Amino acid sequence: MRRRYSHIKPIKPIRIRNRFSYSNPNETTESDERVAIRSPVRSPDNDNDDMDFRYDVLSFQDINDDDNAYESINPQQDNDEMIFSQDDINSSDTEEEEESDYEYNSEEEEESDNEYNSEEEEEDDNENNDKEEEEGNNDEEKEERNNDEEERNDEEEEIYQIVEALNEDKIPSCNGEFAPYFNNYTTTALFCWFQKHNVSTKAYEDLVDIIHNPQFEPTHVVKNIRRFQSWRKRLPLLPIITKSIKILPKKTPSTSRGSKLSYQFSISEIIWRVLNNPMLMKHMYFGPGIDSEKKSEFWHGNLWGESPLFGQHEILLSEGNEIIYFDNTIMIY
Amino acid sequence: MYRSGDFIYYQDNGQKKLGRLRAILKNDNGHYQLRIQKILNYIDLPGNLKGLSRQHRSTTGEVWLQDESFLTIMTSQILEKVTIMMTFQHQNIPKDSLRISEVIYKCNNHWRVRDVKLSYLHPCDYISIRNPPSSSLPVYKLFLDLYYDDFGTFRNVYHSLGGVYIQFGNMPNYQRKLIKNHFVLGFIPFGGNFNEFMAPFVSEIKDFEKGKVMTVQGQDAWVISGLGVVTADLPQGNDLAGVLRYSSI
Repeated sequence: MRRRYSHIKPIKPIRIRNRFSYSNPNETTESDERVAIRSPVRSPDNDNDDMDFRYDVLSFQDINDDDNAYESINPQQDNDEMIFSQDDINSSDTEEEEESDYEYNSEEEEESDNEYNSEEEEEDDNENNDKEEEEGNNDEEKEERNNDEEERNDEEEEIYQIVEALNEDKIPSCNGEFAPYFNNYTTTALFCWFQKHNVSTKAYEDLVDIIHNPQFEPTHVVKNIRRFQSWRKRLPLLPIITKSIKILPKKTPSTSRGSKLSYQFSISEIIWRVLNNPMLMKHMYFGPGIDSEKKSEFWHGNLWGESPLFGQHEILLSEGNEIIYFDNTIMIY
Repeated sequence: MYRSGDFIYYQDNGQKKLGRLRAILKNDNGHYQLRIQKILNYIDLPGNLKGLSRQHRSTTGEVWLQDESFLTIMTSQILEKVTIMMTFQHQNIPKDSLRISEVIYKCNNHWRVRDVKLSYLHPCDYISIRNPPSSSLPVYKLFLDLYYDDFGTFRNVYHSLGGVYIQFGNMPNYQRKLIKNHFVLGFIPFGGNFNEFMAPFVSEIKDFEKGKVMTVQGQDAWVISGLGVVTADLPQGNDLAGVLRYSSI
């Protein structure tokens, strides 16, 4: 019974390993298996390894030459990992075989475990429960134990379904440097860039539009982002005025200062730009107030009609026939 | 030459009447018409306001301004200009000249009277604009609409930012409502003093009210622009008006 039980014990982590982690290199090296890096998100410990794997495989220094702290950005510095990951790729075929072997083994063993467990006596159950650090009492019976097993299986299945990994038989068959995961460099690089920088969908769609434009030339891409700031100065943008204004001490944090800078545009610049925009000028109305039954515009109102600032405030009449001077006559009184 | 704000004689049903030219308008057909505020002689006053003292004053040239409602006449009905003085605007009024010291108005279907300086001033009484330096300059008058509203910068941040925007009342409604035709003037930090923020704007607008030469579409033009409307919702409106907010009763 001891032997049988000790036989169960090492199987458990293996089963978990099968389910969870082809990605945890420490455990896999324990079992002398190079079966890392299948499912990147399953266990949180192996994120770095995954990232290493990605960048090692890609080794695109062009994208990664910003100040990111990934160790393996330059493959020359991390030869070991580089080799390791390339081994992974090369050994991916064998990996699958091994995986399938494992699953078969584990399933068989699980079944046998369950059989064994169900056939075991109560004492074994108790010991088993203690070793698994469950809350079970010493008086637990077989059925409860089986229930526990089922619950744990359920939990494992739930965890398993949260991140759906691709089945081995569904991995697309493609050849090339990036097989079997990606078809080519572009897809791979964009995928990793997208994942790494958390690019929003909208931003990515815009980038796709830019790249798909027939005028797009890769040689025209500006490498230094500071260049864009000098481009911005060439645009006809409005100058910004800055002014320090007082801040009410009410409702502001006690640490905040009594005055802050505020920024605004100059109204004369705005007016100048509006008046010199032919698209806007053709819509704008400059003239006397209009007496309309249906009032919908500002020039239907009293203020426009009466104020010399907005409407027409002078009219020259001779014998009932109006000669219209629009504000630009000089009269001597 | 008639200007809005002038006092005139006009013809109405064959009678010669006094009035004040309030506005020069066009009707929907594009014809000029004039909006006139009536001025009454003693005999036209409503009965409850007639009395010995007013009758006596009317013999020395006093007439009475009538508030709403205004009359619209055609340009052909206008006869001639006349000089009438508001007693509060002029110190020395020559004898026997027409003058106004009271305005009559209707309240709850009763005619009432009050001092004319308590009536709404016509914009011509307090705005004087300069003529353009050259009579050949085209004139553009801009109607500005200032809009002020607070908005939250992030959904979980309490401190809000005040946005000040400008719209041009010269645009028709369907253009004005487009978001591209809302012009940002600036943003006021949380708790910032609105008056201080607006000081540069106010000084610029004061210059623009007098008129300014600008290059418009390649040629010089005389640009006058005034603040016509200030739009704000309740809290900001209270701030602008200098009263407490609705929450502090």
